[in-house]
Amino acid sequence: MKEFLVANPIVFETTLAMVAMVAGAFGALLGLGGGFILIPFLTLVLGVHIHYAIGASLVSVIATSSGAAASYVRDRMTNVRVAILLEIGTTLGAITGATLASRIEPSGLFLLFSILLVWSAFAMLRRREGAGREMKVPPDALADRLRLHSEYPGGTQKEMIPYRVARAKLGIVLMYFAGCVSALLGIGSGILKVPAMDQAMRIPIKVSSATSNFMIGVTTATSAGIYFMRGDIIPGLAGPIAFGVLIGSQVGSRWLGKWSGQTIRFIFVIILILVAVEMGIKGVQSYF
Amino acid sequence: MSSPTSKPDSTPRPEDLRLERWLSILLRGGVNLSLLLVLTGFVLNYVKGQSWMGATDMSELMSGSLTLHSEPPRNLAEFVYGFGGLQSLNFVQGAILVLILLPAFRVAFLLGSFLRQRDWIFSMLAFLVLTFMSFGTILRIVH
Repeated sequence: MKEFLVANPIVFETTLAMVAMVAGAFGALLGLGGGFILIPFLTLVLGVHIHYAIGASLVSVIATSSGAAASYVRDRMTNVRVAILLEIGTTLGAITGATLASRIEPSGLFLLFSILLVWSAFAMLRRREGAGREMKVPPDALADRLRLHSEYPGGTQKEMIPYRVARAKLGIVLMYFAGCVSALLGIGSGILKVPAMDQAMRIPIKVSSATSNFMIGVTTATSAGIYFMRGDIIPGLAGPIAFGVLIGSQVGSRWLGKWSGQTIRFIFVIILILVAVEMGIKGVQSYF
Repeated sequence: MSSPTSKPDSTPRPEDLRLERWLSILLRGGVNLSLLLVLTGFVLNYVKGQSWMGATDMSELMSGSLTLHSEPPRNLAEFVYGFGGLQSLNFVQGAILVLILLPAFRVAFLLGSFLRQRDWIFSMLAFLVLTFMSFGTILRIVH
């Protein structure tokens, strides 16, 4: 297959865009970025070095995050003030991760990716909407001072529901680690950011998802900037992928929305675990 | 859902709402521009028979080696000239640049808005985020 693609660059570019479309569509439906599908495809199927796959994936993550963030901000789901505060943590983490990535052996990255895939698979299995969950919100002087509390449209009538934010300092620390993982593996790491906001900072799940999406663009742009300046973002790889993911996430989610979410989630969990095993084996192989 | 335990100061100010509206327009516009640039590149590849990578580079890419290096555009005039010459590589590089810069513009836009509101703490936070975001460029200049 590789020889055929090398001989036909247009087929190569179109194939990348098509696979990215599927990745973007499933990513949007399942709340994961396209990176979870794209990086295994690029590394395991096409044999691309994981650093280039990460670089291309980062660009596609910015594209989907910016596209979705536009709608969330318009719908007043995003807490922009919380996002700016937490981005201090995520951008510092992204700098650390992008700097470390060039010093870590690909096998290490494969293993780390494999672990995160398994984590994501289990997180998807026990994903809950959070509706009706009542949690005590401890007082937070920093959140009061920075006016982080806000309101969001919820309920059946889309009325504005007020909420308070807690543990702002802890949130910044957790975001540092999320930013680091994002830059190391080329993913948005919403899988880490949303629970940090939802569980630790007591922000409603819908606001956490929207704010996480808003932050993902800034985090990934920080690390993508470093990859780009280092020459690790190959335009012929990143361009078609960003294009495909963007179209896939916008158009595909409407089609896939008609399918049973539970069925897709179950199938995808199995795929994630299989890919995790494959990537884990690739990571371990180099040690023997 | 989190339940408020005390009376929250949660009502957004009118300037916050205006800011959110403009942010949404900026994000949508940037994403559409990058889409248009890649699409133009695709069309040029089909119509003019160009490609974003040569056969040698593609073989190298799919061999799993880390020997490829994509030099970021150094000369702005040359880069812009490439658009006039309908070089598809310039279009795809432009799309990537727009996407990487879009979140930075978003933060710069927020910084301007916080400054206008005389919200000094958030102005400083936005400035710090912007500084961290430009770390890659700073590294490049230093080296």
